[in-house]
Amino acid sequence: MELRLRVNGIAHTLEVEPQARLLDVLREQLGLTGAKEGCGEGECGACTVLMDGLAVNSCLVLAHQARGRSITTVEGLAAAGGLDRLQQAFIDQGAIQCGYCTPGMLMSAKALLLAEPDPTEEQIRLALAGNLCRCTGYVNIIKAIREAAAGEVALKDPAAGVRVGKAAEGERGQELPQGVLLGNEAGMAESAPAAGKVLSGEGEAV
Amino acid sequence: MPAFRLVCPSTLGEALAILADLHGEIIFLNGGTDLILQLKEGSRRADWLVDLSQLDELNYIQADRESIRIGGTTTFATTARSPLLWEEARCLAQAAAQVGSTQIRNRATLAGNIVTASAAGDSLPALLVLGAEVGILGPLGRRRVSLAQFLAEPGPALQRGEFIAEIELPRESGRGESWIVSAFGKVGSRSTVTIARLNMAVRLEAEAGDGRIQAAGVALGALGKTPFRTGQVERKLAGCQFSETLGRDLAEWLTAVVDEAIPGRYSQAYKREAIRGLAYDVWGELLRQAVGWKSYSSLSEDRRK
Repeated sequence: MELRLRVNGIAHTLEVEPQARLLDVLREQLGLTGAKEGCGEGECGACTVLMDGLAVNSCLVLAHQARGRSITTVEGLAAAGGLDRLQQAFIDQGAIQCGYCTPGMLMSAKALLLAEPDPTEEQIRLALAGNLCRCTGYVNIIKAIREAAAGEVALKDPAAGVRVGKAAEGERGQELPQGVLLGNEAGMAESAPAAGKVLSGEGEAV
Repeated sequence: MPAFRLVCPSTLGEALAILADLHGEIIFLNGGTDLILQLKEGSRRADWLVDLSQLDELNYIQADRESIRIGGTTTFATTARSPLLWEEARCLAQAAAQVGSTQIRNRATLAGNIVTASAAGDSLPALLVLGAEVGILGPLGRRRVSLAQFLAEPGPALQRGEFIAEIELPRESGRGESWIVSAFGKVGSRSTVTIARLNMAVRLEAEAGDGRIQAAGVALGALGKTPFRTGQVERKLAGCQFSETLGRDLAEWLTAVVDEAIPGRYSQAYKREAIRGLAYDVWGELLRQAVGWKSYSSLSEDRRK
């Protein structure tokens, strides 16, 4: 069965079994192994990707349910050749131990910051409630997301002048298009200026 | 996953037209958060899967004078964000906000929760106290049943080829000087992303003047095969004056309901206690909402004097 969708800004036309889940297609057909299969039943969030800017468990979505949609995986966050502000903040804050949950954590955090650029700690905790981490105890993950958010807010409104740690120091954020590769659906255009131009073109891959 | 064939209609008309050509067993796929697991583990099989999840025609929350209508592909995330529902059907918005995780709420739908009809389905007690009706579409056209009737059906509530197109909530006619509050609460093994061990919704309609309860709806979940309204408790609440102390009576009455619903069940000892805490939580939320009602605030001031 033919499936057309956009992944990290690139339009794909693929031959996909009806039974395949979105996670299977990403990992096995497109070689994007960032999203992980942890529990396979929507509890752990290791398979989290963005579908039109919203966090979903890719183990609970049939691949064909993503027809015509824009998917962003963790590979899409770093696609511009540098790390996304969130990824850098995770490194700076030591928010990663074994790393298995990290791609899912990053994508849930990304979805949150797209909808709410300056979230409260409560909002961060709720956004991560569907992502389990058995190493870090979550504290540094939450710190990292706060840091990334503070950096983004400071960038948009330099007068606010919030500075938290290294990642908020300006230049890095500016050279990276934030919210890259989100396609153009669902009002995401505002959060993803120029992403399409920089990265995707209309290239048919695979 | 066992083999099935998949059809992906992009309009409602297309979906209905396709049905005539499908032979064998049909399952409708919506958000898929339960169904995909059931297919994977083999507990459900079908010859055909019809994916409704991209039917934008059914993705809506609308209101007219008589009712609020929620389309069959509307997700919990959308439901939990609706200012209209927070205003007029708060228990449903609260329940929607507590279903699963963000990832689940972005896919799972109210219609799917009804079809799955889990004993612990969070939206069901809320929909029951709101008097929800279920709008069904299928090869023979359109029909409508009350949610209570839908859940009470001993066999499958949907015929072959039927799916839920809409959920309808009667809108308050604004019975003169009355006010309405509603709240949902649940108890689970953790505070979020949890399957309810108990859940409950309460809706009260009271006189603006003296706070006397004119009508009460109390529905409980995870206490048997299907969530249910408890008429005996509703009748006891009716006629009482809305107050903090009435919450204690409610807790007593609900303990009796638990004893009747699951006598001898291993969870009875836990649930008859847990329901008291849940009753206090839900009642507290109703009291907070009622603070906005002038008559109630002045009432409680009087009492303090």
